[in-house]
Amino acid sequence: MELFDNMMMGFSVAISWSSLWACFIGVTLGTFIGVLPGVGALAGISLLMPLTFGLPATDAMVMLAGIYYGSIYGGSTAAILLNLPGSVTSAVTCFDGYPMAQKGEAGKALAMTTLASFIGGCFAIVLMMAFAPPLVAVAQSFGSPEYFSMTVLGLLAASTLSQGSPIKGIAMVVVGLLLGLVGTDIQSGAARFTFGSRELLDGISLVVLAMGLFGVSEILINFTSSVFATSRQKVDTSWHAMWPTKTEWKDTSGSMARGSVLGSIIGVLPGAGAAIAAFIAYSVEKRVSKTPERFGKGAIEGLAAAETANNAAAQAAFIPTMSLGIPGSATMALLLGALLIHGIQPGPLVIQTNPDLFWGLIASFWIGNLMLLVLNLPLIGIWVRMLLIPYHILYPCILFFICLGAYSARNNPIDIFLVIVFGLMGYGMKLLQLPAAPLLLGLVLGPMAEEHFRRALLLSRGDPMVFLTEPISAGLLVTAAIIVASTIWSSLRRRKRALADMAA
Amino acid sequence: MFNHLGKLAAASAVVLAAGAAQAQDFPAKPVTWIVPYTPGGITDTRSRLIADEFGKALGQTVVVENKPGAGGTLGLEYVARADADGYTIIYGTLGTLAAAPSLYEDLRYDSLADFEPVHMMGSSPNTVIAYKDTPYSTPEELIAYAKEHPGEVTVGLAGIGTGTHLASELFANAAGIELLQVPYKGSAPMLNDLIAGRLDVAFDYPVSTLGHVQSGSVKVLGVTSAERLALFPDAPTMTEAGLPEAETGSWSGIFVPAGTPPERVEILADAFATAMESDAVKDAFDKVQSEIWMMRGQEMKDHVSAEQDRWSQIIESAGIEKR
Repeated sequence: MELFDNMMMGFSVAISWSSLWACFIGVTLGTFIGVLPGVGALAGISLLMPLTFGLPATDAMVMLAGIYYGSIYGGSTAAILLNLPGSVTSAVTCFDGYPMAQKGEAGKALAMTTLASFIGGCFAIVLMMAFAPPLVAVAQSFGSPEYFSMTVLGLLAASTLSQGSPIKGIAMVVVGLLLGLVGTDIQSGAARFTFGSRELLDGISLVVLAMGLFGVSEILINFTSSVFATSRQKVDTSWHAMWPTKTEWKDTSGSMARGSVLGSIIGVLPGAGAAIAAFIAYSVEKRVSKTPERFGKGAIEGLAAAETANNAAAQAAFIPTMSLGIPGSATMALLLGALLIHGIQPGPLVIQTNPDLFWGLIASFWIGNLMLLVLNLPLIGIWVRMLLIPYHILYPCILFFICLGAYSARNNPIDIFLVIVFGLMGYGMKLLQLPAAPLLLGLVLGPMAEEHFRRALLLSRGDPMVFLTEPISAGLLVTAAIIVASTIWSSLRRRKRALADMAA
Repeated sequence: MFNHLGKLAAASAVVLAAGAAQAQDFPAKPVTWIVPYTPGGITDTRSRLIADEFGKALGQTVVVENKPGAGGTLGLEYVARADADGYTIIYGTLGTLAAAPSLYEDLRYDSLADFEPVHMMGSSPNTVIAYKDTPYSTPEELIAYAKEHPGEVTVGLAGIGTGTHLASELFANAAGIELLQVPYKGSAPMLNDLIAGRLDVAFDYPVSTLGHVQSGSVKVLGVTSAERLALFPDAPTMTEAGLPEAETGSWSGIFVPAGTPPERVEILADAFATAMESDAVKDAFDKVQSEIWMMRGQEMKDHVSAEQDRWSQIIESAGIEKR
C-alpha cells in the first residue's frame, strides 16, 4: 500500500506542467548530447546546470536527471550507426549494434535499442519504487572484498567476450589491465607509467580509448579498403522493417529480462556503474546463448541485453545517490551538487525530508522513459539518413567530432593525441584479428580490482582469507571457479572427442 | 554636491595615472575563470554560483571553464602561462598552492612568483567523524584509544595529498598517535565504508558529512575550525581538545597570472568582494559551514607563503613520496 501511496505522490508531482516541460527538455537535450561522440552526460549536465538555478528544486532535478538518462539512450545511436561509442556506457552497444547496421539492419537495431532501453529503465524504476530500502542494504553490504571478487568474475567473463582464440582474448584483457595501471597509484600517490607526463597522472580515459579503438580504427579500415568506391546501401526504415518480428521478440525476451535484473543490481552498487552492467550482461548473454559464435557479428540478443542493462543501471544508480547521499559516479556527484545549490542537504534523510522531490523524481523517470520512446522511434528515420552521406564528407566530420569529444572531456589536448594513437592501435589489432572488447573491459575492471584487492587486505590486516569468509565474496569466487572448471572440462572433452574422431 | 566633486577629482586623478585609461575599459570582454577540477564537485558548483554574482558586480560575464587533472595542478600550470591581462583567473587552493610544491615532481609553476593574489573566498574546516558504534566520541577518547591500540584504528583518506589527508596527518602528529591509513578514490566511497563500519575514522568537509551526521549514521568527534560550528554545536574544536596545532581549514581564493596590471587586479578584487558579500554566496557558504574570508593584497600573499612553509614540513614529516 505504501508503494501505491508513494507512486501517487510521485505522479502528482511529476505530472504538473512545469515538471513535464522540464522532463521533456531534459530528455531531448540528453538524446542529442548522447548522440555526439565523446560528449557524455557529465559534460552535458555541467554545461546546462546553470540554467536550472532558477527552477524549483524538483523541476531542476527532473531536468538534469532527464539529460543523464537521455544521453545514455542517445549514446547508442552513434554506436550503432558509426561504431562510435558516444558515451562509455554504449561501448558494449558497438559490439553487435554496428555489425547489424553493416548488414543493413540499422533501423531494426535502433528500434531494438529504444525498446530494450525502455524496458530496462521501467524495470529498474518499478524495482526502485518497491524495494529501495532492501536494495540500499545490498549496496551497503558491498565492501572491498565483494567488489574485488566481482571484478574477478567480470575479468573471467571478459576473456570469453571475443570470438575465436581464447588466448588472444586473455592477451587483450592483460593489455587492458596494463593500460589501467597508467596514472597515480591510489594507495601510495606514486606516478606509474606516466613517462614524466603530468597529463597522464589521472590515467587513460575509457571514452578516449573506446573512441580510438572503435571509431577511429573503423575509419582507417574503411579508408584502406575499397569501400569508398562502393555505393551506400539504403536502409529500410519502414515501421514494418524496423519493428522486431515475433521470433526476434522471442529470442530477446530472455535477454532483456536478464539484462534488466543484472543492470538493476549492478547499478545499485555505488562503485560499479552502467558500463560494467552492460559488459556483464553482454557476457552472460553470450554464455547462455546456444549460438555464441553469432555474438559480435550482429546478434540482436547481445544488443538487447546490453541496452536493457545499461539503462536499468542508469536508473538504479539513483538509489544509492538519493537514499545514502553517496554518489556512485561523477555524474551522480554532479546531481547531488545541484541538490545542494537548491538548499537540500543530500544524505540519508532526503527521502524523509523531501518525499515529494524523491518520489516525484522517480515518477518523472517513468514519464521521461516514455517520452524517449515516443521521441526516438520517429527519429530513427532521420538518424539512419546519416548513413547516406558520402564517406568523403561523413568521415572527416566524424573525426572532427571525435577530436572535439576527446578534448571536451577535460579540456586537455593530450586526449586528442591519445585518441589517434588508440585509433592506430585499433587498426593494427583489426589486421591481427585481436579483439578490442576484452581490452576495454580490462581497462575498466583492472584498476577496480587492484584498488579493492589492496584495500581489502589493508583492512583485514593482510589476511587473504577475508575473500572467502565474507559470504557474498565467497559466492562470487565460487561462481568464478565453476566457470573456469567447466571451460576446462568442456575443452578437454572436445579434445578427447577430436582425438577419438582422428583415431576412427 | 561635494561628494560628486570628490568623485570627479578622484576620477580625474585616476585618468591621469599611467595606464589608467586602459583600466577603465576593463573588463571589455568576458572573463574566463579556470576551475582546475572536474565539473560537478563542490568547488565547481560553488564557483558557478559565485561566478554569477561576480559577473554582476563586474558588469561582464564570467565564464567558468574546467581544466582538471593532476590534483588541480594542470589548471594552474595553464594559467601561469596565460596572458597577464586580467581576463584569465584561477581558483587556487591550499592543495594546489601550498601543498602541491611538496607533492609533485616537475611542477611547472611557482605558487608565489607566478600568481598574483586577487581575493580569498574562504576556508572550510574539517570534521573528524567516526563510525557510529566506535568506543570513542571525542578527540580525547580517540587519542586515548589509539594510544592503547597503536596502529589499529583505521583512518580513511580521500586521496593521497588531499586537504583532508593532510588534516589527518596534522592531527595524528599533534596527538602523537599512529593510525592505519586506508586510501580511497575520493570522499564518497570512503564515507560508504565508514557508514557500514568497515572504516573507523575519517576527516572530511562539513558539506559531505552533514547529511550523515544528521541521520545518525556517523558521529562527529570534533572540528578543526577555530570556533565551534553552528551545525555541529556539540563537537569540540581542536584547541578545546588540547591540540591547538591541529587547527586547519582548506582555504581557497582567486588568482591571476603574475604581471597583471595592478589596477586590473584591483577592479577584479573589488567586484569579487561584492560577490562574496552577496546574500546568495553568504547563504551557500553558511549552509556548508564554510567561512568567508575578506582577505586580499599583501595579507593574502603572506598567508599563501606561510601556508606553503607549514605544509611542506608536514608533508615531509609524513613521508609522502613526490609523484
